[in-house]
Amino acid sequence: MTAEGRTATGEGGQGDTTSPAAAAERPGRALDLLVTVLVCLAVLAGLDVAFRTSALRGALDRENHYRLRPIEYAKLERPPDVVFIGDSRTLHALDPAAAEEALAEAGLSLSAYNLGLSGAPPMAQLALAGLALSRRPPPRVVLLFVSPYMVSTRIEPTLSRESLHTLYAWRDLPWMVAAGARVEDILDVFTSNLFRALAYRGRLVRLVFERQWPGPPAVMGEKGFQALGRVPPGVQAERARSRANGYRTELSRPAAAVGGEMLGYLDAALRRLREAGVAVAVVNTTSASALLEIYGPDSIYDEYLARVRAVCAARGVPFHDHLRNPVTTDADFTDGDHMNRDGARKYTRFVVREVVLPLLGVEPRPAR
Amino acid sequence: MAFTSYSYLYFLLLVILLRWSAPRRAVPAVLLAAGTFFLWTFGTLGLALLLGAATVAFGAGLGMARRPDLRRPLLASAVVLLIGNLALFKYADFLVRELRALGAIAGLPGLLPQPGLVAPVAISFFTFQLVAYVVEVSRGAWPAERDFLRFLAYATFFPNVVSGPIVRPAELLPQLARPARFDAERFSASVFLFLGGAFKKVVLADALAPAVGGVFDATGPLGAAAAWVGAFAFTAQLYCDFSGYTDMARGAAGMLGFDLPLNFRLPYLSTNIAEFWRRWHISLSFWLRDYVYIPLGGSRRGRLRTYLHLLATMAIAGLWHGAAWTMVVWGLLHGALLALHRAFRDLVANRPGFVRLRASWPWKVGGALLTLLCVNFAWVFFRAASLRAAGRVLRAMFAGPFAVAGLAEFRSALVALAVVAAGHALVAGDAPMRAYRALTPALRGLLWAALILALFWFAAPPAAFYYVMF
Repeated sequence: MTAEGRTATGEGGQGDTTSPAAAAERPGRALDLLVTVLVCLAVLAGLDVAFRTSALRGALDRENHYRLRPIEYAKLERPPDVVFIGDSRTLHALDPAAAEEALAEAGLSLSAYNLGLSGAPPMAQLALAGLALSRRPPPRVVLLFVSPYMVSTRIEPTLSRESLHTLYAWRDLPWMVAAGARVEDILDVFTSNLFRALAYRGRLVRLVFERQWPGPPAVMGEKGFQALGRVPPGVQAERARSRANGYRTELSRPAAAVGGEMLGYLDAALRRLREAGVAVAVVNTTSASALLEIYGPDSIYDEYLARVRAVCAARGVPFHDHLRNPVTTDADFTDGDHMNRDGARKYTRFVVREVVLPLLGVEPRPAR
Repeated sequence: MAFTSYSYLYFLLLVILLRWSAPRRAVPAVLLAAGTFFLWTFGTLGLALLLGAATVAFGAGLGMARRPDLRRPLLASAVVLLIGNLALFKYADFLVRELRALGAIAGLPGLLPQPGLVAPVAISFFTFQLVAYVVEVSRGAWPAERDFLRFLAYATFFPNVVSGPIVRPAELLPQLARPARFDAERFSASVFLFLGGAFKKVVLADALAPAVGGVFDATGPLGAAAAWVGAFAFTAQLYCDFSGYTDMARGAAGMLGFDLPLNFRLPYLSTNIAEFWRRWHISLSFWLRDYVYIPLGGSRRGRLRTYLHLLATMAIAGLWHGAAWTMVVWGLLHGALLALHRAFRDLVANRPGFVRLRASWPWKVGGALLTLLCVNFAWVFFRAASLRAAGRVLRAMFAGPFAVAGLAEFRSALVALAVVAAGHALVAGDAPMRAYRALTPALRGLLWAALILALFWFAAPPAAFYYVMF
């Protein structure tokens, strides 16, 4: 600290980069600036268009469930009448074939589709609802499946947030605003739709710097449903215990609380579907017995149920609590909350009877 | 709203549109609205404190202009209020915590309740900026501002309000009084400055952050090689982070037609510690010189007092950066280095042999290396979470086992370090801006696109700007 050097503007020496004002010594022409801006935009837009139409983009789309979902859905010959939306618990639990069978038994020739995605909380479900509505005519019934993990503040929705720009299209932006989404998330989706390569940034970086080439196409299953095989009872029990231990901390107070962000997305999804004339219901996901004990009074479970019920009531949407249901047993699960093929078949028929048929205004026949 | 977020990008585009489409007399109002909104995104407390502090400074300035006889009490009141506000939010918690620790030792646990105050973003910077204003007005170096709206626009000017540069009234108020007309060349250069700053922050600083965290925040065993890499990585990270931020701030201001002062001049090429402080965080070091060191007596009261003034000034600099003992030690270390340098200069400055030696390149290179090592050593205290953590890193640097085997995990950091070092060695002064000005408009467009693509390709996981916490 000496008295040398007179002013903070660095008289007597240049900075890391000089002041832009110095550039103004030679007044610039607006046309030059316009050329600079246009060249920059043309380069960026040109590269983006090249990427959008490249085989590389196709390969990257095929390897990823999140990217492939909209593509597969757009390819459907006929849009489905009944759509199930949720996370992996839904992906492996709602069998469209079983649903169509149960609907046919009720005298309805309707098609079903599973739009479940691993790790998809309401933040992703709003976009999936938009995807369901993107086909004409829209589905007659959409069921949204929720669970307490989706709203726990202990579980940072980082992955979902990073996937937003993968799932959300232009059409979803007003609904993000309606959901009260973070401004940064809305702008992320906006910019990534403007320059599509941004939505693939992380993947492209891994490809270039870590030589991670596109993998094999993702397995999307029959009508979106991914069946899981049966596992021995001991393995199921052990996996369920392990999951219960992991979930306990994620749901226990005071560390955990019910976050409002996901409920905002759920509310927007319900509104969006209702406004499109779709019959909607929300279903609380079912679990194996090992997980039931973690939903005690010290967990956020009761508050989660109350808050979701309140959102549904405000939108006039029926809510069904399937945590304990009369059809599934531990033998129907591969772990604590993912069903095997047989469990999925039983449970889907139950869902059609208890939820879908009433929504369609059809009196369910007695269960066989 | 971080400078590297989408929110800021769109906000800046909107403000640029509004600024250049608004009549010139409405520019302060546009900037005030933008600054208020920008600060509000960080929380209402910080905004309220800034508006309150600005009102105090404005009122004091006006009072001094109208009643020169009350100049001293008005100045004292304003400074006490401004610094008191900073002290309350930044130091009360620290002070009470230390008193509680002492109380616990003396058998009086729970002596005082912990206030739990958290310093809002920008408080350190706007406090120093407003103190500069009232002091300049009291000295008659700058006339009191009479337009409250313009003054608030000066206090809330969003490009620099969060992390500087700390702007003197003479540097911004005249520009707000007569906003510049649009100049395409200046705008173009400002975009380049902004993108270059983003590159420093997003590509270089953020690439260095994991290595720094791995060394400073871990608790396991640490080897000498890793500790040295970690310490140098932080030295480079802090420079890229803060000077990158400053370039973005100056670029944003330039796009709005305003000029902010330089804050860095390749500081790690300094050949002595005094020169370092004329090149590092220039607006703060000159603030400290003008409003702390010189009022304390500067170098006018004998050698010993000069050294004490340097120590005291730098201790305050340390405390300004954070309410922690590590910051105090960092400040005292720099004070001691400045005092040592001063003593050495006093001893040999006028000897003919030394004048010749000082001009020689080996002396300059040796001085630069020694200065860098000293600065690097002191940064350990600046970065460490506690004195114990700083001791751990320093022990490893000087007494740890030297094993290069584990350095592979520092690959990105080493590359970024090499880029920073090469940048310092090859880029002299304003070479980038001179080169930019020599380009044709089309080539400039290509350069912008290249910088944006570099941000796309090399962006590391985002980390907050380091100086936001001060």
